[in-house]
Amino acid sequence: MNPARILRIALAAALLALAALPQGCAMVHQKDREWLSDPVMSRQPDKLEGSLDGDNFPRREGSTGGSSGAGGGCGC
Amino acid sequence: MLRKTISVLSALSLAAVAGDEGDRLDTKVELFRDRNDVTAVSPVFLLTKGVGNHVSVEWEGQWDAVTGASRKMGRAVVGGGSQPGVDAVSGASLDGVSGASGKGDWESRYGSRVTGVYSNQGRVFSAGIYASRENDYQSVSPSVGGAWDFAERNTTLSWGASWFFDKSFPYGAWAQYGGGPKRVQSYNVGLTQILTPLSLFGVNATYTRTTGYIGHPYNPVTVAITDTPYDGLQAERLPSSKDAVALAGQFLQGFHLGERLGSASVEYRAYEDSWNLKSHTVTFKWTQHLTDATIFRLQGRWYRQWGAEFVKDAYQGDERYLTADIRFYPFSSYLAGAKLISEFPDAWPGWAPRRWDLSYDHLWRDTHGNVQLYQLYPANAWYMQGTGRLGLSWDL
Repeated sequence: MNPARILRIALAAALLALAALPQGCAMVHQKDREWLSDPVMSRQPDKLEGSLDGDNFPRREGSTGGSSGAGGGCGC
Repeated sequence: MLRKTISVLSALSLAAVAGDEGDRLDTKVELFRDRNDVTAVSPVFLLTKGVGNHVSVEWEGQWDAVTGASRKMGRAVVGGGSQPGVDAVSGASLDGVSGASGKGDWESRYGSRVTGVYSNQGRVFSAGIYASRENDYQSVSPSVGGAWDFAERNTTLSWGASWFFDKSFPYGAWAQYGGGPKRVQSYNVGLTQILTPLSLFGVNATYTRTTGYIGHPYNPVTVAITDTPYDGLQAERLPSSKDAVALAGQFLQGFHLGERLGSASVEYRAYEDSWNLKSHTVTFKWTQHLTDATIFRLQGRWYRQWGAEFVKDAYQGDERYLTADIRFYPFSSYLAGAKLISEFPDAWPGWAPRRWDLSYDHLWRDTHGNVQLYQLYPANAWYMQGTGRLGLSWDL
Protein backbone atom coordinates (compact mmCIF):
# COMPACT_ATOMS: atom_id res chain seq x y z
CA MET A 1 0.00 0.00 0.00
CA ASN A 2 1.64 3.23 -1.09
CA PRO A 3 1.24 6.67 0.56
CA ALA A 4 -1.16 7.84 -2.16
CA ARG A 5 -3.49 4.94 -1.37
CA ILE A 6 -3.26 5.70 2.34
CA LEU A 7 -4.15 9.31 1.56
CA ARG A 8 -7.15 8.24 -0.55
CA ILE A 9 -8.43 6.02 2.25
CA ALA A 10 -7.95 8.81 4.80
CA LEU A 11 -9.83 11.24 2.54
CA ALA A 12 -12.63 8.72 2.09
CA ALA A 13 -12.86 8.36 5.86
CA ALA A 14 -12.96 12.13 6.29
CA LEU A 15 -15.73 12.45 3.70
CA LEU A 16 -17.65 9.66 5.41
CA ALA A 17 -17.34 11.48 8.74
CA LEU A 18 -18.44 14.77 7.19
CA ALA A 19 -21.41 13.07 5.57
CA ALA A 20 -22.33 11.73 8.96
CA LEU A 21 -22.48 15.14 10.55
CA PRO A 22 -25.84 15.90 12.04
CA GLN A 23 -27.38 18.23 9.48
CA GLY A 24 -29.75 15.52 8.32
CA CYS A 25 -30.30 13.91 11.71
CA ALA A 26 -33.18 14.62 14.05
CA MET A 27 -32.00 16.35 17.22
CA VAL A 28 -32.47 14.28 20.38
CA HIS A 29 -32.88 16.61 23.31
CA GLN A 30 -31.29 16.04 26.71
CA LYS A 31 -34.62 15.14 28.34
CA ASP A 32 -35.13 12.33 25.81
CA ARG A 33 -31.86 10.56 26.52
CA GLU A 34 -32.85 8.39 29.46
CA TRP A 35 -32.46 5.21 27.42
CA LEU A 36 -29.24 6.40 25.77
CA SER A 37 -27.63 6.84 29.18
CA ASP A 38 -28.28 3.21 30.10
CA PRO A 39 -25.19 0.93 30.07
CA VAL A 40 -26.75 -1.35 27.44
CA MET A 41 -26.68 1.61 25.00
CA SER A 42 -22.98 2.37 25.52
CA ARG A 43 -20.47 1.60 22.76
CA GLN A 44 -17.78 0.58 25.30
CA PRO A 45 -19.18 0.41 28.84
CA ASP A 46 -16.31 -1.52 30.46
CA LYS A 47 -12.88 0.18 30.29
CA LEU A 48 -10.97 -2.76 31.72
CA GLU A 49 -12.58 -5.12 29.24
CA GLY A 50 -11.53 -2.76 26.46
CA SER A 51 -8.00 -2.66 27.80
CA LEU A 52 -7.72 -6.46 27.98
CA ASP A 53 -9.24 -6.80 24.52
CA GLY A 54 -6.72 -4.33 23.15
CA ASP A 55 -3.61 -5.59 24.94
CA ASN A 56 -4.05 -9.35 25.22
CA PHE A 57 -6.56 -10.57 22.67
CA PRO A 58 -4.72 -9.73 19.39
CA ARG A 59 -1.52 -11.55 20.32
CA ARG A 60 -3.41 -14.58 21.60
CA GLU A 61 -5.52 -14.73 18.49
CA GLY A 62 -2.42 -14.03 16.41
CA SER A 63 -4.18 -11.41 14.33
CA THR A 64 -3.02 -8.24 12.61
CA GLY A 65 -5.61 -5.52 12.41
CA GLY A 66 -8.42 -7.32 14.17
CA SER A 67 -8.70 -4.95 17.10
CA SER A 68 -8.10 -1.36 18.01
CA GLY A 69 -4.93 -2.06 20.00
CA ALA A 70 -2.42 0.48 18.73
CA GLY A 71 0.76 -1.45 18.75
CA GLY A 72 3.21 -1.75 21.63
CA GLY A 73 4.67 -5.13 22.49
CA CYS A 74 6.24 -7.84 20.38
CA GLY A 75 3.58 -10.52 20.73
CA CYS A 76 6.32 -13.01 21.48
CA MET B 1 4.58 -9.87 42.09
CA LEU B 2 1.13 -11.33 42.65
CA ARG B 3 1.44 -10.76 46.39
CA LYS B 4 2.48 -7.16 45.73
CA THR B 5 -0.43 -6.64 43.35
CA ILE B 6 -2.89 -8.09 45.83
CA SER B 7 -1.53 -5.91 48.64
CA VAL B 8 -1.91 -2.82 46.47
CA LEU B 9 -5.47 -3.79 45.63
CA SER B 10 -6.23 -4.38 49.31
CA ALA B 11 -4.82 -1.01 50.28
CA LEU B 12 -6.88 0.71 47.63
CA SER B 13 -10.06 -1.02 48.69
CA LEU B 14 -9.47 -0.06 52.34
CA ALA B 15 -9.02 3.55 51.21
CA ALA B 16 -12.44 3.40 49.64
CA VAL B 17 -14.40 4.87 52.51
CA ALA B 18 -13.11 8.44 52.22
CA GLY B 19 -13.55 8.86 48.46
CA ASP B 20 -15.61 11.33 46.42
CA GLU B 21 -18.70 10.51 44.43
CA GLY B 22 -17.69 9.01 41.09
CA ASP B 23 -14.43 7.60 42.40
CA ARG B 24 -14.21 3.88 41.85
CA LEU B 25 -11.95 0.89 41.71
CA ASP B 26 -12.49 -1.74 39.03
CA THR B 27 -10.64 -5.04 39.10
CA LYS B 28 -10.68 -8.00 36.80
CA VAL B 29 -8.91 -11.35 36.56
CA GLU B 30 -8.55 -12.96 33.16
CA LEU B 31 -7.89 -16.67 32.78
CA PHE B 32 -6.81 -17.94 29.37
CA ARG B 33 -6.19 -21.47 28.14
CA ASP B 34 -5.67 -22.85 24.66
CA ARG B 35 -5.67 -26.21 22.97
CA ASN B 36 -1.88 -26.43 23.30
CA ASP B 37 -2.21 -26.20 27.11
CA VAL B 38 -0.90 -22.67 27.26
CA THR B 39 -2.33 -20.97 30.35
CA ALA B 40 -2.32 -17.28 31.20
CA VAL B 41 -3.45 -15.46 34.33
CA SER B 42 -3.90 -11.70 34.06
CA PRO B 43 -5.12 -9.61 37.01
CA VAL B 44 -5.76 -5.94 36.20
CA PHE B 45 -7.16 -2.96 38.05
CA LEU B 46 -8.31 0.56 37.22
CA LEU B 47 -8.51 3.25 39.89
CA THR B 48 -10.46 6.41 38.98
CA LYS B 49 -10.15 9.36 41.32
CA GLY B 50 -11.59 12.86 40.92
CA VAL B 51 -9.34 15.85 41.54
CA GLY B 52 -11.46 18.99 41.72
CA ASN B 53 -14.55 19.58 39.60
CA HIS B 54 -13.19 18.92 36.13
CA VAL B 55 -10.13 16.71 36.49
CA SER B 56 -9.81 13.02 37.20
CA VAL B 57 -6.86 10.67 37.30
CA GLU B 58 -6.95 7.06 36.14
CA TRP B 59 -4.34 4.51 37.15
CA GLU B 60 -4.41 1.13 35.49
CA GLY B 61 -2.17 -1.79 36.41
CA GLN B 62 -1.72 -5.03 34.51
CA TRP B 63 0.06 -8.25 35.26
CA ASP B 64 0.24 -11.15 32.87
CA ALA B 65 1.76 -14.57 33.54
CA VAL B 66 1.91 -17.10 30.72
CA THR B 67 2.92 -20.71 30.87
CA GLY B 68 2.19 -23.82 28.89
CA ALA B 69 3.30 -26.58 26.66
CA SER B 70 2.94 -25.28 23.14
CA ARG B 71 6.48 -23.97 23.10
CA LYS B 72 7.64 -27.49 23.99
CA MET B 73 5.43 -29.12 21.39
CA GLY B 74 6.36 -26.86 18.53
CA ARG B 75 8.67 -28.60 16.15
CA ALA B 76 8.65 -31.75 18.22
CA VAL B 77 5.11 -32.33 17.04
CA VAL B 78 5.97 -31.96 13.39
CA GLY B 79 9.02 -34.14 13.40
CA GLY B 80 11.58 -33.09 15.93
CA GLY B 81 14.64 -30.95 15.41
CA SER B 82 17.20 -29.68 17.82
CA GLN B 83 15.22 -26.60 18.84
CA PRO B 84 12.03 -27.88 20.47
CA GLY B 85 11.32 -24.83 22.59
CA VAL B 86 9.91 -22.45 20.02
CA ASP B 87 6.59 -20.77 20.42
CA ALA B 88 4.81 -17.79 18.97
CA VAL B 89 1.16 -18.51 19.67
CA SER B 90 0.89 -18.06 23.38
CA GLY B 91 2.07 -14.50 23.65
CA ALA B 92 4.88 -15.69 25.89
CA SER B 93 8.43 -15.23 24.78
CA LEU B 94 10.80 -18.11 24.76
CA ASP B 95 12.75 -19.22 27.75
CA GLY B 96 13.36 -22.86 27.17
CA VAL B 97 15.77 -22.97 24.24
CA SER B 98 18.82 -21.54 25.89
CA GLY B 99 17.54 -21.22 29.43
CA ALA B 100 19.31 -17.88 29.45
CA SER B 101 16.72 -16.04 31.46
CA GLY B 102 16.72 -18.56 34.27
CA LYS B 103 13.07 -17.76 34.95
CA GLY B 104 11.64 -21.22 34.58
CA ASP B 105 8.95 -22.26 32.14
CA TRP B 106 6.64 -19.29 32.56
CA GLU B 107 6.96 -15.63 31.83
CA SER B 108 5.42 -12.51 33.32
CA ARG B 109 4.66 -9.14 31.83
CA TYR B 110 3.57 -6.16 33.87
CA GLY B 111 2.38 -2.76 32.77
CA SER B 112 0.94 0.42 34.17
CA ARG B 113 -0.93 3.33 32.65
CA VAL B 114 -1.58 6.71 34.28
CA THR B 115 -3.97 9.12 32.58
CA GLY B 116 -5.17 12.58 33.51
CA VAL B 117 -8.56 13.62 32.15
CA TYR B 118 -9.95 17.16 31.96
CA SER B 119 -13.68 17.40 31.24
CA ASN B 120 -15.79 20.55 31.10
CA GLN B 121 -19.05 21.29 29.25
CA GLY B 122 -18.66 18.71 26.54
CA ARG B 123 -14.92 19.16 26.05
CA VAL B 124 -12.59 16.38 27.13
CA PHE B 125 -8.82 16.31 27.00
CA SER B 126 -6.65 13.49 28.27
CA ALA B 127 -2.95 12.78 28.49
CA GLY B 128 -1.28 9.68 29.78
CA ILE B 129 1.72 7.42 29.77
CA TYR B 130 1.93 3.64 29.61
CA ALA B 131 4.90 1.42 30.35
CA SER B 132 5.26 -2.34 30.27
CA ARG B 133 8.09 -4.72 30.88
CA GLU B 134 8.72 -8.41 30.33
CA ASN B 135 11.91 -10.44 30.50
CA ASP B 136 13.10 -9.55 27.03
CA TYR B 137 10.95 -6.58 26.01
CA GLN B 138 10.01 -3.15 27.23
CA SER B 139 7.58 -0.52 26.00
CA VAL B 140 6.96 3.11 26.93
CA SER B 141 4.09 5.02 25.37
CA PRO B 142 2.87 8.58 25.92
CA SER B 143 -0.56 9.38 24.54
CA VAL B 144 -3.00 12.28 24.21
CA GLY B 145 -6.65 12.39 23.27
CA GLY B 146 -9.75 14.48 23.29
CA ALA B 147 -13.44 14.71 22.52
CA TRP B 148 -15.79 17.54 21.61
CA ASP B 149 -19.55 17.39 21.95
CA PHE B 150 -21.64 19.71 19.80
CA ALA B 151 -25.09 20.00 18.22
CA GLU B 152 -26.67 19.86 21.71
CA ARG B 153 -24.36 16.94 22.45
CA ASN B 154 -25.87 14.80 19.73
CA THR B 155 -22.50 14.57 18.03
CA THR B 156 -19.13 13.73 19.53
CA LEU B 157 -15.90 14.19 17.63
CA SER B 158 -12.94 12.40 19.20
CA TRP B 159 -9.26 12.09 18.42
CA GLY B 160 -6.21 10.39 19.85
CA ALA B 161 -2.50 9.94 19.29
CA SER B 162 0.00 7.58 20.86
CA TRP B 163 3.69 6.92 20.41
CA PHE B 164 5.39 3.68 21.45
CA PHE B 165 9.10 3.50 22.22
CA ASP B 166 9.77 -0.23 22.40
CA LYS B 167 12.90 -2.31 22.68
CA SER B 168 13.43 -6.03 22.23
CA PHE B 169 16.47 -7.72 23.78
CA PRO B 170 16.27 -11.47 23.08
CA TYR B 171 17.65 -14.15 25.36
CA GLY B 172 21.16 -15.48 25.02
CA ALA B 173 22.24 -16.59 21.56
CA TRP B 174 18.91 -15.49 20.07
CA ALA B 175 20.15 -11.91 20.26
CA GLN B 176 22.30 -12.49 17.16
CA TYR B 177 19.14 -13.16 15.12
CA GLY B 178 17.15 -10.10 16.05
CA GLY B 179 16.25 -7.46 18.58
CA GLY B 180 16.55 -3.71 18.87
CA PRO B 181 14.29 -0.68 19.04
CA LYS B 182 10.84 -0.37 17.53
CA ARG B 183 8.83 2.82 17.14
CA VAL B 184 5.07 2.94 16.68
CA GLN B 185 3.03 6.07 16.11
CA SER B 186 -0.73 5.85 15.92
CA TYR B 187 -3.33 8.53 15.19
CA ASN B 188 -7.09 8.15 15.21
CA VAL B 189 -10.18 10.27 14.72
CA GLY B 190 -13.74 9.22 15.45
CA LEU B 191 -17.28 10.47 15.35
CA THR B 192 -20.32 9.29 17.31
CA GLN B 193 -23.78 10.45 16.28
CA ILE B 194 -27.04 10.03 18.18
CA LEU B 195 -29.78 9.25 15.67
CA THR B 196 -32.88 8.72 17.81
CA PRO B 197 -33.58 8.17 21.53
CA LEU B 198 -32.83 4.50 20.84
CA SER B 199 -30.10 4.47 18.20
CA LEU B 200 -26.64 5.79 17.46
CA PHE B 201 -23.70 5.07 15.24
CA GLY B 202 -19.99 5.74 15.24
CA VAL B 203 -17.11 5.72 12.79
CA ASN B 204 -13.39 5.66 13.47
CA ALA B 205 -10.25 5.88 11.35
CA THR B 206 -6.76 4.95 12.53
CA TYR B 207 -3.37 5.35 10.90
CA THR B 208 -0.38 3.53 12.37
CA ARG B 209 3.26 3.62 11.30
CA THR B 210 5.75 1.12 12.67
CA THR B 211 9.50 1.27 12.13
CA GLY B 212 12.53 -0.55 13.45
CA TYR B 213 12.72 -4.18 14.52
CA ILE B 214 9.26 -5.61 13.78
CA GLY B 215 8.57 -9.20 14.77
CA HIS B 216 10.73 -11.34 17.02
CA PRO B 217 13.62 -13.82 16.74
CA TYR B 218 12.03 -16.85 18.45
CA ASN B 219 10.13 -17.96 15.39
CA PRO B 220 12.71 -19.33 12.93
CA VAL B 221 11.55 -20.21 9.44
CA THR B 222 11.87 -23.66 7.90
CA VAL B 223 13.73 -23.37 4.57
CA ALA B 224 14.77 -25.80 1.84
CA ILE B 225 18.47 -24.98 2.23
CA THR B 226 19.81 -27.28 4.95
CA ASP B 227 23.34 -25.94 5.38
CA THR B 228 22.24 -23.32 7.89
CA PRO B 229 23.47 -23.18 11.49
CA TYR B 230 20.24 -24.86 12.63
CA ASP B 231 19.74 -27.44 9.91
CA GLY B 232 17.14 -25.91 7.65
CA LEU B 233 16.08 -23.03 9.91
CA GLN B 234 16.66 -19.35 9.24
CA ALA B 235 15.87 -16.27 11.30
CA GLU B 236 12.79 -14.30 10.36
CA ARG B 237 13.44 -11.37 8.00
CA LEU B 238 10.82 -8.59 7.81
CA PRO B 239 10.69 -5.09 6.29
CA SER B 240 11.81 -2.37 8.68
CA SER B 241 8.68 -0.26 8.31
CA LYS B 242 4.93 -0.72 7.98
CA ASP B 243 2.08 1.72 7.38
CA ALA B 244 -1.43 0.64 8.29
CA VAL B 245 -4.91 2.11 7.99
CA ALA B 246 -8.01 0.80 9.78
CA LEU B 247 -11.59 2.00 9.32
CA ALA B 248 -14.41 0.95 11.65
CA GLY B 249 -18.13 1.65 11.84
CA GLN B 250 -20.67 0.63 14.47
CA PHE B 251 -24.44 0.89 14.58
CA LEU B 252 -26.34 0.34 17.81
CA GLN B 253 -30.13 -0.01 18.06
CA GLY B 254 -32.03 -0.16 21.35
CA PHE B 255 -35.35 -1.92 21.90
CA HIS B 256 -37.62 -3.14 24.66
CA LEU B 257 -38.40 -6.76 25.47
CA GLY B 258 -41.41 -6.30 27.68
CA GLU B 259 -40.33 -3.47 29.97
CA ARG B 260 -36.65 -4.32 29.81
CA LEU B 261 -34.28 -2.25 27.69
CA GLY B 262 -31.88 -4.07 25.41
CA SER B 263 -29.70 -3.28 22.42
CA ALA B 264 -28.24 -4.92 19.35
CA SER B 265 -25.08 -3.65 17.73
CA VAL B 266 -23.03 -4.53 14.69
CA GLU B 267 -19.48 -3.35 14.07
CA TYR B 268 -17.39 -3.72 10.94
CA ARG B 269 -13.66 -3.08 10.79
CA ALA B 270 -11.40 -3.09 7.73
CA TYR B 271 -7.60 -3.09 7.92
CA GLU B 272 -4.90 -2.82 5.28
CA ASP B 273 -1.19 -2.22 5.52
CA SER B 274 1.83 -1.60 3.31
CA TRP B 275 2.73 -5.31 3.42
CA ASN B 276 -0.55 -5.92 1.57
CA LEU B 277 -2.00 -7.67 4.60
CA LYS B 278 -5.76 -7.14 4.74
CA SER B 279 -8.36 -8.13 7.29
CA HIS B 280 -12.07 -7.79 7.92
CA THR B 281 -13.81 -8.07 11.29
CA VAL B 282 -17.56 -8.22 11.96
CA THR B 283 -18.84 -8.22 15.55
CA PHE B 284 -22.45 -8.64 16.73
CA LYS B 285 -23.58 -7.95 20.30
CA TRP B 286 -26.91 -8.38 22.01
CA THR B 287 -27.06 -6.68 25.41
CA GLN B 288 -30.18 -7.08 27.52
CA HIS B 289 -31.46 -6.03 30.93
CA LEU B 290 -32.71 -9.12 32.77
CA THR B 291 -33.59 -7.00 35.83
CA ASP B 292 -32.90 -3.35 36.68
CA ALA B 293 -29.50 -4.33 38.04
CA THR B 294 -28.58 -7.36 35.93
CA ILE B 295 -27.43 -7.25 32.31
CA PHE B 296 -26.73 -10.17 29.99
CA ARG B 297 -24.64 -9.95 26.81
CA LEU B 298 -24.11 -12.35 23.94
CA GLN B 299 -21.52 -11.64 21.26
CA GLY B 300 -20.26 -13.22 18.08
CA ARG B 301 -17.25 -12.20 16.01
CA TRP B 302 -15.95 -13.22 12.59
CA TYR B 303 -12.42 -12.40 11.50
CA ARG B 304 -10.74 -13.04 8.16
CA GLN B 305 -7.14 -12.20 7.41
CA TRP B 306 -5.27 -12.31 4.10
CA GLY B 307 -1.53 -12.70 4.54
CA ALA B 308 1.32 -10.34 3.87
CA GLU B 309 2.65 -10.38 0.30
CA PHE B 310 5.84 -12.22 1.26
CA VAL B 311 4.36 -15.15 3.20
CA LYS B 312 4.77 -18.58 1.60
CA ASP B 313 3.94 -22.17 2.42
CA ALA B 314 7.55 -23.15 1.66
CA TYR B 315 10.64 -20.94 1.55
CA GLN B 316 13.86 -21.69 -0.31
CA GLY B 317 15.93 -19.55 2.05
CA ASP B 318 17.17 -16.95 -0.44
CA GLU B 319 14.08 -14.72 -0.24
CA ARG B 320 14.46 -11.11 0.84
CA TYR B 321 11.72 -11.47 3.48
CA LEU B 322 10.54 -14.63 5.19
CA THR B 323 8.47 -15.36 8.26
CA ALA B 324 6.63 -18.16 10.07
CA ASP B 325 4.69 -15.79 12.29
CA ILE B 326 0.98 -16.58 12.28
CA ARG B 327 0.18 -12.88 12.61
CA PHE B 328 1.23 -12.37 8.99
CA TYR B 329 -0.44 -15.49 7.48
CA PRO B 330 -4.00 -15.99 6.20
CA PHE B 331 -6.50 -17.43 8.64
CA SER B 332 -10.09 -17.14 9.82
CA SER B 333 -11.38 -17.08 13.36
CA TYR B 334 -14.77 -17.24 15.00
CA LEU B 335 -15.60 -16.10 18.52
CA ALA B 336 -18.70 -16.66 20.63
CA GLY B 337 -19.07 -15.25 24.12
CA ALA B 338 -21.41 -14.46 26.96
CA LYS B 339 -21.23 -11.98 29.83
CA LEU B 340 -23.29 -11.36 32.96
CA ILE B 341 -23.11 -8.07 34.89
CA SER B 342 -24.90 -7.39 38.17
CA GLU B 343 -24.79 -5.58 41.51
CA PHE B 344 -24.40 -6.75 45.08
CA PRO B 345 -27.19 -5.95 47.59
CA ASP B 346 -27.43 -2.34 48.77
CA ALA B 347 -27.35 -3.62 52.35
CA TRP B 348 -23.73 -4.67 52.01
CA PRO B 349 -21.23 -2.50 53.95
CA GLY B 350 -19.45 0.36 52.18
CA TRP B 351 -16.10 -1.41 51.93
CA ALA B 352 -17.64 -4.32 50.03
CA PRO B 353 -17.69 -4.43 46.21
CA ARG B 354 -20.75 -2.94 44.52
CA ARG B 355 -20.76 -4.70 41.14
CA TRP B 356 -19.51 -7.90 39.57
CA ASP B 357 -19.23 -9.31 36.09
CA LEU B 358 -18.44 -12.72 34.67
CA SER B 359 -17.68 -13.56 31.06
CA TYR B 360 -16.40 -16.32 28.81
CA ASP B 361 -15.31 -16.11 25.17
CA HIS B 362 -14.43 -19.13 23.03
CA LEU B 363 -12.39 -18.73 19.87
CA TRP B 364 -11.92 -21.15 16.98
CA ARG B 365 -9.20 -20.51 14.41
CA ASP B 366 -8.91 -22.08 10.99
CA THR B 367 -5.43 -21.77 9.47
CA HIS B 368 -6.63 -23.30 6.22
CA GLY B 369 -4.19 -26.21 6.44
CA ASN B 370 -1.03 -24.13 6.61
CA VAL B 371 1.70 -26.37 8.06
CA GLN B 372 4.35 -23.65 8.01
CA LEU B 373 2.79 -22.52 11.28
CA TYR B 374 4.33 -25.46 13.07
CA GLN B 375 3.36 -24.29 16.50
CA LEU B 376 -0.18 -25.48 15.83
CA TYR B 377 -1.33 -29.05 15.61
CA PRO B 378 -0.25 -29.83 12.04
CA ALA B 379 -2.75 -32.62 11.49
CA ASN B 380 -5.65 -30.40 12.36
CA ALA B 381 -5.54 -26.75 11.43
CA TRP B 382 -8.39 -25.95 13.76
CA TYR B 383 -7.25 -24.44 16.98
CA MET B 384 -9.26 -23.33 20.03
CA GLN B 385 -8.79 -21.06 22.99
CA GLY B 386 -10.98 -19.86 25.84
CA THR B 387 -10.88 -16.69 27.92
CA GLY B 388 -12.80 -16.25 31.18
CA ARG B 389 -12.96 -13.03 33.18
CA LEU B 390 -14.24 -12.19 36.66
CA GLY B 391 -14.62 -8.55 37.62
CA LEU B 392 -15.36 -6.73 40.89
CA SER B 393 -15.96 -2.99 41.29
CA TRP B 394 -15.98 -0.73 44.31
CA ASP B 395 -17.45 2.76 44.70
CA LEU B 396 -14.90 4.79 46.64
